[in-house]
Order: sequence, then C-alpha cells, then structure tokens
Amino acid sequence: MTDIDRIIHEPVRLRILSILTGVDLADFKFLLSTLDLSRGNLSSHIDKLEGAGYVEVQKGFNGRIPHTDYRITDGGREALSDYWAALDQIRAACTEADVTPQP
Amino acid sequence: MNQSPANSQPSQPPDPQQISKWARAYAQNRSLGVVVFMMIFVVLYAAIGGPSYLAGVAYRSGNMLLFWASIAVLVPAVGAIIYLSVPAWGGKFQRRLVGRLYAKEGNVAFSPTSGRAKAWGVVLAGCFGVCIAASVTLDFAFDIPSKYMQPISALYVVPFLVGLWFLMRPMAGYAALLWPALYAAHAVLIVSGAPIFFTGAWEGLNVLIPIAGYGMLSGLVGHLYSRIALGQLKRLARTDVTGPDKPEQVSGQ
Repeated sequence: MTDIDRIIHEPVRLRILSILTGVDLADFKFLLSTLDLSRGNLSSHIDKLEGAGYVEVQKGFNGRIPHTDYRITDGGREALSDYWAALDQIRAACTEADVTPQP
Repeated sequence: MNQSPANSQPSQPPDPQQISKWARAYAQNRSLGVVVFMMIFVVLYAAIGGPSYLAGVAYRSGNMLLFWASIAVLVPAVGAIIYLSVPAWGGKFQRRLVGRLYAKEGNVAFSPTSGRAKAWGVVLAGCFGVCIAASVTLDFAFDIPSKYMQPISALYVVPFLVGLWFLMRPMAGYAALLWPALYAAHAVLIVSGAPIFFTGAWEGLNVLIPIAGYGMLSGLVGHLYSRIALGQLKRLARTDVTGPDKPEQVSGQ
C-alpha cells in the first residue's frame, strides 16, 4: 500500500503548502487571515511543516515590528508532488478493485 | 449508503491546485500600488511637460532666468522618472507601497527579479529615457502636430511597458498588459482619424492622460481581480478546516 505523508495529509497543512506553492513567500498575517485560524493553531502547523523541512521561516523586522515570512522549500515541493502521486495511486487502486458499495 | 470517512476517498480540500492558482492570481494582481504609482508619475510628467514648454518659450524670448529655472525643475523630474522606471529601484519602491496599501491582508509576494533581469531593466530604462529625450527634441525641431504626439510616444512606451512586464514576471499578472494594449489601441485610433486628442493649450496632455489613465485603469482592473481571487482563495482555504478532521485530532505525529 502506498504511504501517505501524514504531515501533508492534515488538511490545514495541505492548504498552507498549496498556498505557498502558488507564491514565493507569504507572511504570518496573510496565512492567518486567509485560513481563518487562531494564531496558536497556525503556529503549531507551521512548526510541524518547518520541522519536516517543508517550509522555510524567515524572521525579520518591518521597522520595529517583528515580521515572519514563510516559503516552501524544494523538499516541500517534492513532498507535495509525491503526496499527490500517492493519492493518485490510491485512487487508481480503488478504481481497479471497484470498491463501490453494493446495494 | 456508506459514507463514513474511513471508506470514502482520502480527506482533501476541494481541489487544492485551485488554492495555488488563486493565491498566485491574488499575489500578481495586488495592483493598487500601480494606481498610486501612476499618480506620482502624473505629477512627475507635469513637472517635465510644464517646464519643457516654459523653457522653450523662455529660450525663444531670451528670458534666461525663466529658462534656467525651468531646467532646474526639469532635470530632477527626469531623474525621478528614470529612477522609478528602473525595475530594481522602482520595483522596490512599489513593493513598499503595496505592502502599506495591503497591510491589513498581510504580505504575499514573489522574489525580486534576478540580477540579469535587473541589468536588462537598467538598459530598458536607459533606452526609455533616450526615447523621451529624442521625442522632445523632435517636437522642438520639427514642430510635430499635437495629434501625433501620442502615436509617436506609443512607438517606445508600448515596447517599454511590455518589456517591463517581461522583466517583472511573475510579479505582474496579465492584467498589467492591459496598459500597453490600451495605449497602443489609443494610438491606432488617433492614426485612423478618431478625434481623441487635445489641441491648443491642452496639447501637452496628449501623452500624459492616456499613459496615466490607462495605467490607473489597468491597476484598478488588477485590484478588482485581486478581490475576486482573494474571495475564491478564502472560500477554498477555509472549507472543511473545522470539519471532522480538524487539526488537533489528526496532527499528532
């Protein structure tokens, strides 16, 4: 059976990576307002993605205000691509096995 | 019907590839900065057009004080136009402007252009500056009819804007191409005989109004599209987030 990357399989983290594949970088505020999450929730998901090496965190200042940008890494892109490939394999396997519920 | 999550297809958002697409569309079309940028350009062009006219009048009448005063306004205005036209410098200014205008939505961006693109940007801006100087000189030397000012300027403004768009990709979206397209269409209409030009005391506006007006229009169109893109992005990115597989339940690794 194809292994699914459990880090990416979580819906919020999948959405974060999907957003970051569309752009070069996004900041915490953008992800927070777009995903409509609490700060703590978003932070914990980002920490997991960063821990897996899928997201690169860039901390800095805008004047005196702390500012954090996120960028998907090459490893993150590859992992996301592998994730979709794995899902496609599962779909194909289900289609072959014809798992449609019988009446 | 058996619809339990265990038996259904893997839980996933509604087409996440659409999330990437709308995120990109949103990032590329945050173009309110272009509208403000154009307003600055209007002021700078006025600071070039007015003194150019006055310098010509003063030179012909021998009023050298007015002539040099006009040149003193003209030179920094041309310098500022060239500065803002160089993608490396103008782009940085514009990114800061966009950051402030969209501060409430947060920042989402593309990497600044590469060193090679920056070098081409300097060449492009230099050529643009030379073309402006050449067209002003031509106007002085041959007294070109005012109705042809915009079509002549289109010969270098349109390639400049298209070139700028190429150098600024993927930061600029396709809506930005509306600007050179409308400017070129305006030139074609004038050459075809359409009475869409200024005469007399207002002839100096023949270039300024179309270039700024179409720039602002394309900026506003881009901004409106960014509203649609952001709406779609939020709709897709928020679907099912608080559903049965919310983070705290699944995230334990």
